[in-house]
Amino acid sequence: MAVQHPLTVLLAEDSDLDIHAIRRCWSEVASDAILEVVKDGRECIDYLLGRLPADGSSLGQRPDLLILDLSMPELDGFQVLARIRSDPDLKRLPVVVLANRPTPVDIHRGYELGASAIFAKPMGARSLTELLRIVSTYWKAATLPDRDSPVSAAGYTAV
Amino acid sequence: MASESFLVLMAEDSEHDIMAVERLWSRRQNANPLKIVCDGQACLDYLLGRGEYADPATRQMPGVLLLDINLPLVDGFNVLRQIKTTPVLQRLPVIVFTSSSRIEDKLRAYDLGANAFMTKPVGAEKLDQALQLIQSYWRLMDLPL
Repeated sequence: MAVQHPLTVLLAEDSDLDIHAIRRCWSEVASDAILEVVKDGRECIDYLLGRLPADGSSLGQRPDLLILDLSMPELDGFQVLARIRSDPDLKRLPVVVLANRPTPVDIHRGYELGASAIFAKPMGARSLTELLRIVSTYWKAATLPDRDSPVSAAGYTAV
Repeated sequence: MASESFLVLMAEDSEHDIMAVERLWSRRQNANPLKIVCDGQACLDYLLGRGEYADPATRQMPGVLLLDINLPLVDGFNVLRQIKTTPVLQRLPVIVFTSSSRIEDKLRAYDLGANAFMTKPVGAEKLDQALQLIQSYWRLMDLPL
């Protein structure tokens, strides 16, 4: 068994309100997972390519999962996704796209560009918490591209 | 909008696993509809509406595919490659769900565009947990249906 380190997630999101909400819910459901934040598409790519530490101090660690907002300044979510999927070093990274109100066209385009999944930002803290709980459990149970084994074998049991 | 009642298509050739999944599925109250195909050719035929699935009345497009790697006739990697390079199918979320834990298999699956790679757990309880987790996750996601 390989040495386990916690699930590392990069959140690319420009809305301070949403960052705050996601951080708060995330700490409730996945306190053992690391959540780094970048605030636009350019910063996201720079972070992934190791050119920019997210908090300005430590060198950015390659995340296990990217949660990518669709509408962001500089490069939008689709541009970031296309860039990731065409980069030999980044192309396997699981990318979950979140959107305010994705249209069927957005959803189709996202999957065509290689999104691992797409979801609408839920209204309200309870649904956001539940969503992040399932997202983190799912990706801990999956075998991630850069890991030898799942982060956690514990499955989700529906209530 | 997330769609909750999507069909789960499973491509699996092990009789033992098929029986286990069917048993678990039948016990669950709110399980999604499930269709199992036993080889890679049947999986592609189902998705493309060919062969025994040529009649549209006999098939519903799945919301997600759980794909084993070691399948007869056409193996899982070839099924995955065909799905992700065929315009009408490429959006379909494919979860490679396999007993393999080989690193090469995992990397190859992600390279070919798998939406996730999950090792099929041994034992009914863990298998049930994994299937429930997959279903709960995809019920919350927006599917390209």
